[in-house]
Amino acid sequence: MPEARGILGFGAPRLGVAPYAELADPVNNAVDRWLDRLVGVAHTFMPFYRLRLRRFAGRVLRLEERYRDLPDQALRDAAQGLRSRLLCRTDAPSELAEAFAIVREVSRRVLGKQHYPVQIMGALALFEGRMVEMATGEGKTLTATPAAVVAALAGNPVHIVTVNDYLAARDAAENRPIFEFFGLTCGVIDSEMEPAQRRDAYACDVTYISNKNLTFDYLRDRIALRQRRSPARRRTLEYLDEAGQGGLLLRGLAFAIVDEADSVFVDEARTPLILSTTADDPERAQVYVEALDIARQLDEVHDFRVDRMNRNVTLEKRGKKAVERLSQNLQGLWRIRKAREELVTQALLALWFYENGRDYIVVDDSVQIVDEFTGRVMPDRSWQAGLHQMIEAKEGVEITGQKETLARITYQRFFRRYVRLAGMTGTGT
Amino acid sequence: MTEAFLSTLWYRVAELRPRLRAHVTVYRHRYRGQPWYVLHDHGAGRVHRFTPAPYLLIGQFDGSRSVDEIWRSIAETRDEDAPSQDDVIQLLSRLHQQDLIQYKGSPDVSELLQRNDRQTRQVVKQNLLNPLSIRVPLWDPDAFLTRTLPFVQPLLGRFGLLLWILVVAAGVLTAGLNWDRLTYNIADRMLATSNLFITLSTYPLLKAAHELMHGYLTKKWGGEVREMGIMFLVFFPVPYVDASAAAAFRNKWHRAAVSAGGIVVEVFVAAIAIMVWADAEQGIVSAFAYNLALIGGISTLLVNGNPLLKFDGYYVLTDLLEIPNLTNRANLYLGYLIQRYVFGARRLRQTPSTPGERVWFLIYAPAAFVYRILIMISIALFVASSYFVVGVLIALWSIFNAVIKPLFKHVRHVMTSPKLRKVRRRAQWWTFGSMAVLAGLILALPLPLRTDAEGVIWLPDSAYVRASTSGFVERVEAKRASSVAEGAPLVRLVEPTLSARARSLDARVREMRLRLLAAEATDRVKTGIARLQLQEVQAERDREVQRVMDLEVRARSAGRFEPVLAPDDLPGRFVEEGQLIGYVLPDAADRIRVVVPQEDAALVRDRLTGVELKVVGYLEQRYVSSMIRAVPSAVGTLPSPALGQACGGRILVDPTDEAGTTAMEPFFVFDIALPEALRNIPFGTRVLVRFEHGNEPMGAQIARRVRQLFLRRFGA
Repeated sequence: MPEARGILGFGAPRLGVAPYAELADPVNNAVDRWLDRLVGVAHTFMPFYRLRLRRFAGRVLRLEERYRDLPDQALRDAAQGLRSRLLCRTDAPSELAEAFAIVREVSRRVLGKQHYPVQIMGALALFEGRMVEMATGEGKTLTATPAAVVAALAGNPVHIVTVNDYLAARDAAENRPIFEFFGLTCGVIDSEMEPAQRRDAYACDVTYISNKNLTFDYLRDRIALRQRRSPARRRTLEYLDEAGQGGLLLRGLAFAIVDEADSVFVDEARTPLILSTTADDPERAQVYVEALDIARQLDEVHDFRVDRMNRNVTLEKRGKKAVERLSQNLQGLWRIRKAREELVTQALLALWFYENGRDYIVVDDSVQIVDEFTGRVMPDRSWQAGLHQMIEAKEGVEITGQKETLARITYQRFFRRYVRLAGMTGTGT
Repeated sequence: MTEAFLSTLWYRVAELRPRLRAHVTVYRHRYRGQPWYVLHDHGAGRVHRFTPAPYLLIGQFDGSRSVDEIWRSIAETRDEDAPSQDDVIQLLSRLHQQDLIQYKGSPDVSELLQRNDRQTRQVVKQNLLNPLSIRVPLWDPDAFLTRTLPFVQPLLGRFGLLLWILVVAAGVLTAGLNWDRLTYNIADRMLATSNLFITLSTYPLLKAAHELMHGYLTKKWGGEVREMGIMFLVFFPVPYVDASAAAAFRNKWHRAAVSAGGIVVEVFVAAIAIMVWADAEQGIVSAFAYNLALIGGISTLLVNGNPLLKFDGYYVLTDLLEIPNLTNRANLYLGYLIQRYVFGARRLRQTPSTPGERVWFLIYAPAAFVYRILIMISIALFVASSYFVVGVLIALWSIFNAVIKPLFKHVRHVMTSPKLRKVRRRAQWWTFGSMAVLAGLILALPLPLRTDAEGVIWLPDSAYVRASTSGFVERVEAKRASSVAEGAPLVRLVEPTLSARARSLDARVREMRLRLLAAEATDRVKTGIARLQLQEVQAERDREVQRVMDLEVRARSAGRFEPVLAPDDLPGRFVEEGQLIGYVLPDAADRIRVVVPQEDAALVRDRLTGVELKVVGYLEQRYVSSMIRAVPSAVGTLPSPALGQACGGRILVDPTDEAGTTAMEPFFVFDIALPEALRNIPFGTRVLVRFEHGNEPMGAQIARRVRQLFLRRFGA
């Protein structure tokens, strides 16, 4: 496998602080990124790269005869023999050509499909970490296999990333025979699996997984690591701390082949994926009930003013005094004047502007938001800043804790951490 | 709706237990009666100032209580001024960025290193953004300054002040007495290549003394000086000393003295230098002294000592006024005023300031902006007068930095700032509207375009009586100051050889005629030649006959005859052909000869719409006139010395010319008609003339001048 490169192909890549292989976040500014784009565009339009790929494909095709008549075991031995060479020098074209030729032959025997020259070109491009555009029907799934096999033979954990679980399972089932021919294990992960199963799947040489699952597994690893992210610290703390830490799920972000890369990198690129917990804080829960109590005792005309146009409520002077009087026996946040006024205002908002049946419904002892534009129920959404909890208190249902973010990342940032990233798309332009 | 008091992110900081780092000391200063808390970070050598409100929190960061506990206790006791949870989070992040606090448990090393990297890059970026002043820190001068302080100590006290006053007073007196000699032709003297070398070697020495004084004064009152290095001002190396520890001094006079120390030294050296220069002979000593005096004086007045630019004078002013961080706060205050009252935004946070400070903000911000631009353009023009390309680059860079970059920043703020969310439309209208109005004023509003020039009331050509042929004056026929009619004889010349020549030419004519006859008979070829020869001699003879007639000089127009010399002196003198003998003055003048510099000549010639004039001496009255004549080519000699600068006019004349009429640059001559009302004004009176060219936008006018400037430099 070609060594991952640093800037402009020189030097070692900057690895990030993590117990496994991942790149550090790039340090650049708008000018750097613009220059990168320019270079990329130039690269795309110059024919040099395509010519090189074509030559390589020709070379692979010429090696066909050598392997066509070999028995299965001889093929396997040849592959294992290549392995040691691939581990050392992964950018040598001769080794790569041989490896690709072997995979092609295996694919012919096992699946009955032989790679066309375009697919070989695509496979080499994927192996070198590029984004490949192939029209649907040109056999994208098959193109990924030589790259995945060779990368796995070189010892890197390979992740093949699809859009959803079904496709992951389907592609895995399709290509599994090829991997097993070489003695490589192939794992699939779907959303229902437990962490132990996931860990086993990631321990395989090639893992098929959907992008959402992958990113959330990575986030879970980050949370589990917490203070122990750097290798040195982790080993020290492991040594000192007998309890040891739970195993990590992933083995490293070494090589990823992303299917439907355009939808992942462009369409959904900037949506953050957030891992959050609901903090269970009984003290906070009590605050909302108390706030509603006080709010119900206030009088509309004298104590507060309702502004229907702008949807807000303001406390009048008399109301503020009333709040102070009513809360004099309460503790905690109620001692702080601005905090208590804000809580009561929010309670008034909940009472006056949010109606059961119009803005939300109560289903199964939980409050679910009704989308104001479509009229559909959104069970996974919740209001911010304690409003949801206030309404739950108003309806008398169990108060869910506020969501606290544990970790978040966007696809853009996550996939950039792969030491080598490749993508396939049917509609690149 | 006011800003939220409680924050959804509170859970992230609630359990942290921060404490101030060990190398940070806190001082309490009073500025204008208000307490301010100054955190001196000894590790990084930086000083941070906080108002009492954030210090309420900072003062409690001792590592034992969590942020939540601290916040609650403060919020309970303080009603209105309670900091909101977002405020606390922002303060914590700011302190963290500045490395002023630490939390329990060891920090994230990679993040520390990242921050360190970013800060180092920041220094480099600062240098790149200001290529005119690049700082390179080199060594720690603290030990050297401590050792040498005792020697300098006597000069830093009362005695030193007294000495300074005396010397500077003497220097100023000397400068005043020798002012003309001092300021004559400064630009050329200072920027001449030979002088540049002297300037470039005196400047670092002066700056070294300046910076060392900063350092000594800081040390005198107990501060530390930890950074010294070389600064490249406009690519020229000069030393610098980082005396920022003085910001932690409690006494404002001490702080001001440290800032002013450099200026004091420069003025002192300049005063001594002036006195030396005034007495010295022309030579190296005089040149050095002159340079020192000028650099010290000019740089202090215009740049260093001027509080409108962010150099020493500014820090002296802010220390004496007790307004820390004047420029930033003034700009923020102006921004707040505009956003609040012009854009109508409500949810704005106003930085705390006293009414007195606000008055200073209003005065200072616009003045500093205008002055900064003026000074940079002036420097650019000054340099461009001798080194054109460099000057233009400096001008462009300063305009970019001072006008274009802030403009972009402000426009981006108007377009995207969340604080202006509710009034964005109004803000955009106001911003782009005023920009459009300004652009329209410059580019579209037609302003009158005129050229102002000077002229003299002129005699018509026919008023000059010139000798048409050379000869001796025999007799003056007309009396002086008598009125003569057109064609009347004025002066009689006599040329003895003339008649003899005429007769000899007559003879030659006869000869040629005979030859022609002979040739016609004998030789055909020679006939043509003979005929030509005859014609030639005939023409000569006619000319001589004419000359004989011209011996009688006649008046070409009616008027009053005034000979050049007294009538008794004229007879017997020899006059050349074309020499002026006298004037036949008409009753009244009828034209004004106007002199226009070459850059305006094209406008006057091609785009004239009207002419106005005023007579020098009678400036209240304007008259309208029209153009009579335009001379196509440029001329080098002024019609009258009254138009040259030596006699009060506008055109630069060559100082070596005694007559005062040779101009330094060519100009164009136009004649305009003299209005009726001015017929009686004496000849030669200076007249101020305005040529009107219609209207043209200011932008086009400036563009023309800039193009002319470039043409002169690149074309000449």
